[in-house]
Amino acid sequence: MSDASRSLVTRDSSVPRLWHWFSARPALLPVVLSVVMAVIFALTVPNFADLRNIMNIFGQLGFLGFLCIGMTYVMVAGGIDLSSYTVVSAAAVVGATVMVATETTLPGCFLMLLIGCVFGAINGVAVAYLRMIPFIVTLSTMVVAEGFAIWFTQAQSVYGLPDAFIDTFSARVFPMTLGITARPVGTPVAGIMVLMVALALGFVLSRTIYGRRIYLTGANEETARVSGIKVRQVKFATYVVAGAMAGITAMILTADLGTATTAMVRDVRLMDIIAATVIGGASLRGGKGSILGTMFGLLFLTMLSNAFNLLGVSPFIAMVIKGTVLVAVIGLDVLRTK
Amino acid sequence: MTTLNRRDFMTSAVAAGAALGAPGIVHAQGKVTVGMAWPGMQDAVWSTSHKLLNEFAAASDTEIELVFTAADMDVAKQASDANDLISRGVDLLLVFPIDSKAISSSVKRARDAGIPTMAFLRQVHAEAKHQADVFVGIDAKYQQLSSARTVFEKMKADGAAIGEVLWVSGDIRDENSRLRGVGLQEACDEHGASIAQDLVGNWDPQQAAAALAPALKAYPDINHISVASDVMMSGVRQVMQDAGKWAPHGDPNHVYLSSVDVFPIGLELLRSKHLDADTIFDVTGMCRTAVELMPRLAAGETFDSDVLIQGPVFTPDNVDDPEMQSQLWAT
Repeated sequence: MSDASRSLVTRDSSVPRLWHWFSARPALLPVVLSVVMAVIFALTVPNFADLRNIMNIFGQLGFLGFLCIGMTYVMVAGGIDLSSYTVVSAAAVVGATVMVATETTLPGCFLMLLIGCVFGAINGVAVAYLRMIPFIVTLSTMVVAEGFAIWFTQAQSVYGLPDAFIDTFSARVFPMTLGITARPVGTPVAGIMVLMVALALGFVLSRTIYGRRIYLTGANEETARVSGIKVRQVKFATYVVAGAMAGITAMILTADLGTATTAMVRDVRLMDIIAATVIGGASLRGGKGSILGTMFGLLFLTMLSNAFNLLGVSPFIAMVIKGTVLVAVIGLDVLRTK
Repeated sequence: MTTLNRRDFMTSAVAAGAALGAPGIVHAQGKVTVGMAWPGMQDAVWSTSHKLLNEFAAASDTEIELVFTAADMDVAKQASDANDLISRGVDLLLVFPIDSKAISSSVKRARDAGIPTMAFLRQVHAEAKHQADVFVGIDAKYQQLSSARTVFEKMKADGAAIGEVLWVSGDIRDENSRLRGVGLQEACDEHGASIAQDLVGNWDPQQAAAALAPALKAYPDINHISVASDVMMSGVRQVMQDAGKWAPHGDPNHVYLSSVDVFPIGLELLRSKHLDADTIFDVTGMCRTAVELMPRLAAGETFDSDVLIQGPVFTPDNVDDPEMQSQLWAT
């Protein structure tokens, strides 16, 4: 074999090898994307690498991070949850109303979590036990939760929340200075909370038997059943987790905004949630995904929006890019499975 | 009649000027970067104000850079956008609140960062903890007051009896609707009239029609109907046609009509003389004023009161004046 032909063979075989290596590690794509984007933005976008902006991005992860974690659990198990963003409003308005009425924090927080779990349980029962189609079920729950929130508040915002609640969840702790930042900048509690929950639920998903059961259920339900996995219970639990995450998001957002409204999170953000999860390596066919990948997927999207806002670029171009990236990643997922 | 219209136009200009302190005096300084936290671009007012703000900023003596963000009606996204703009270190945060209470947290963050805020069109809720440094909006009370007042004066000139008025209001939960009702009441008080019935139209022509139809039967001699917005005018027209009360000014069957906003249907009805007065929703004046205030606010100037824009009253006599036509934005 000549040197030229040997070189050609080597090049030809290295591309699929690299492809297979990346395919086996889907969480790496968002990590690489995020790191590359962060470096580019830090070098080209004024104020992007400023500590205040870094903490701003970190805090914004707390807005959608919990919903993305919940979506990852559901999608790994082979489902989808379109209702989470309206459940946030439903949980928020009820919890906030109780807080205002009682002037205490805990019962309201508990209610937010409970309402999130109840909606999650409704989804779980319908999908896992009644074998209804997840898309239709959660689409219906989405409408129910939205209608409930509007009916409950008569479309009026709930305000006058206890200071203790706002101060706790919207606080910034561990002030620090870095680079050109003159004043110390605190770390948002919302960011810390989402990081802790991501680590805990990421560990459960990737390192425990229960997590393996979720993957197997999503990858092949029949095989999972034959293997002795209680598929219905597994699926049901993932929707409850997603509901609980909506409840926590309700707390974070209500505290951050100082009010609970029926339009806290709108349908356009559902695309961000699904995009972050899919970019993070989850497959719409189930059995794939990771919390690590999802969080980096969300980081990528958040940095993109932030950089465009800093640059003054039209937010609609950001939407086009997000949509294009989502289609490209879904396309990659299709290629990966072939 | 021309004199009256000119006077109204001058009144509005003087009122806006008085609110601004010294109109036309802009403190020259360096470039001013203004972060816009907008609800979106889906609504005509949102997109038109975005366009006009850019046009006035480009024509300003001071170099003004507008950094635009759109939240797609997502309250949490608007808070994130405001955070991004604060991180960018803008000189001024211009917020068009999606939620008048939730925006208070963004105002606080801006203030903590030493950035002044201007609320545009929708005021930060009066009970919210943190208020914007200035609010530039429409004087909703004046809109209905000026429109109804113009009609009352026309009725007086025509020798028509002034008595009761049917009020087709907007949404009872809407502050603009409430203020327009207050404006109508003031106009009635000025002319010894009274509101016979408050008919809630919810900014919807069908609901307005459903409310007005029985009222016209209950008050068969009514000769003045005041409508909270042109957006409901198609329903009002339908009911009046069905009741045989749809006739232009000069016809014995004419019922005097006052309205607000000057949307295309309003212009059409002014030209056909079915509508007698219509006060514009003055987006142009609001944007012009907001841009005039930007450098002053960024330079640290404080304002004691809100800046409420009073647009001119359109009537059948002035509707095609070039000066009035230049005020139109929704046609």
